[in-house]
Amino acid sequence: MFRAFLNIFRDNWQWRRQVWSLALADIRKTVRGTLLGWFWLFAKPLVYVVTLWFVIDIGLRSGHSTDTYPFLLWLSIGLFAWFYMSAMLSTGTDLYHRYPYLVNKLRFPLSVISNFYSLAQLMIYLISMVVLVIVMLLAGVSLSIYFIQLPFIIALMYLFFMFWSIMVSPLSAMSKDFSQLIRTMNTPIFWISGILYNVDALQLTWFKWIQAFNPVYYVVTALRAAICDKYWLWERPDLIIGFGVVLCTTMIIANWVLWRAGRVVPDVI
Amino acid sequence: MSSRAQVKHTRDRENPIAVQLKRMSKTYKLYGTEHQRLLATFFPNVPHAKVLANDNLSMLIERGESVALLGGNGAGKSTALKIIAGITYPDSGSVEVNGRVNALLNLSAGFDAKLTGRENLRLRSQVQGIPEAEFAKLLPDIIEFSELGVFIDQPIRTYSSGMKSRLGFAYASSFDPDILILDEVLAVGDKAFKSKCLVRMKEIMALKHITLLFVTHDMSAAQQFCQRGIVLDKGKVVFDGPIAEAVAFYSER
Repeated sequence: MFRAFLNIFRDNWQWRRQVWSLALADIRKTVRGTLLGWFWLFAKPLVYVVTLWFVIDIGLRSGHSTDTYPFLLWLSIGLFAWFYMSAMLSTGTDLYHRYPYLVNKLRFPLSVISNFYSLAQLMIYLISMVVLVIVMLLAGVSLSIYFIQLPFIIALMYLFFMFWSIMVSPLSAMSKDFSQLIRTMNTPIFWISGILYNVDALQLTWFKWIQAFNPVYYVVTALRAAICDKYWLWERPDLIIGFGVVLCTTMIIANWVLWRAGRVVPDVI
Repeated sequence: MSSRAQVKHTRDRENPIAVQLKRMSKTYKLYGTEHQRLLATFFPNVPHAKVLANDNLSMLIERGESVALLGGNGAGKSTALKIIAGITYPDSGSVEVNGRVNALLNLSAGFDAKLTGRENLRLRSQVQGIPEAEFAKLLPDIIEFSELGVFIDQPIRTYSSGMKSRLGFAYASSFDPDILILDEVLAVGDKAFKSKCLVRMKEIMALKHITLLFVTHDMSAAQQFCQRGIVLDKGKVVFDGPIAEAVAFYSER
């Protein structure tokens, strides 16, 4: 079974060119049929961010802008990452029904499907982050040394959600109930993970226990540490250890699921 | 888990062995509900019906051979071809395949309905690792052979099944693979296109290194293209020998 684990990495390395071209094809498929395809890809999240910012900061007067960064920046970091994670938590959980012909018409490793879909979503995320940083600099908010943690955090986020997709896609392929369950959890995960408000301020024990197993919380908190809150991640060992445990557990279970169910998947899609 | 089937695909086109199956078995497990299938993946005791598609299948196909697989419906021909193509997996035994495989298993399927014909061709060639230069060189020929005309830049969802089949055949027959797998491909298209396909197949077979695995119910086509015939029945090999004898054996049953 350890060999199977190495196989996932070997497959993804051997098929790396396909990962790239299929990721581009996935984006092309999404923007298909619209004149302003690429524009819509970013217009939707942008409108979403501005709406929520207006409601929370202006409407409810609950934004918490500080001297060093505005609430809009803090909110955007969380939401942009959420758009990536939300795609992985919805479509990413049931990829084999999105690409049936790669599963049962061509010889193609299942784990690579998770990789290229994740990459397609990440490209959109990275472009929005570049735009965000440019706007932020133009608005006079400065970057700090803590910013260099960002690539590392994004890489870990990618690794987690790729293995997440490898773990749950075979199960979704076999049971529609399972994919429905995950999709249903999408909304509560959004609201409890601190994308819109600072959950660290909540002093509820059971709530802290949920966050200890919540990768979305870890990612969002770490991203904000690098840009807004400005501290090194090792100053919060609870973040590093917690996320490490969640990541390793997911990778091990994903490997086990792929080993047990991977060969059955082409027969059920 | 020691009985887990061994599956090996290499790009080694010089290997004298093109395909080797050793005591390969494949069972389709049928469950009452999807729920039970999910449970069965992790707990072996879930009740189910079994259909033995391939039963201890062994065969050795050398490089350059052309082999017809004959047998009635449900004999296990298509399952064996899918396993050789690496699309589905056996339960036990071993499979070894050396060389680039091009499988035409179901011509009208396997396209992305949202993408255009041209985009699908590019995507498929990329998935199969065909170099961009080789693809660009062959693309005009593929489009011409498929007779799709302006439809090549329309989404596949607007195609008829005949159009999809023509595109599928045009694509798969344009790259010379090391191992060509054809399952009932001549059953599609009109008469004119069928004869065009036969001409194309003769051209491909003229290439010396190609290994052909051919499933058909058309005995004259089988004799035209193959030297060797393997007759399957209920998942087992019941005859393996020269094509004329295989056809005679199959016809008498």
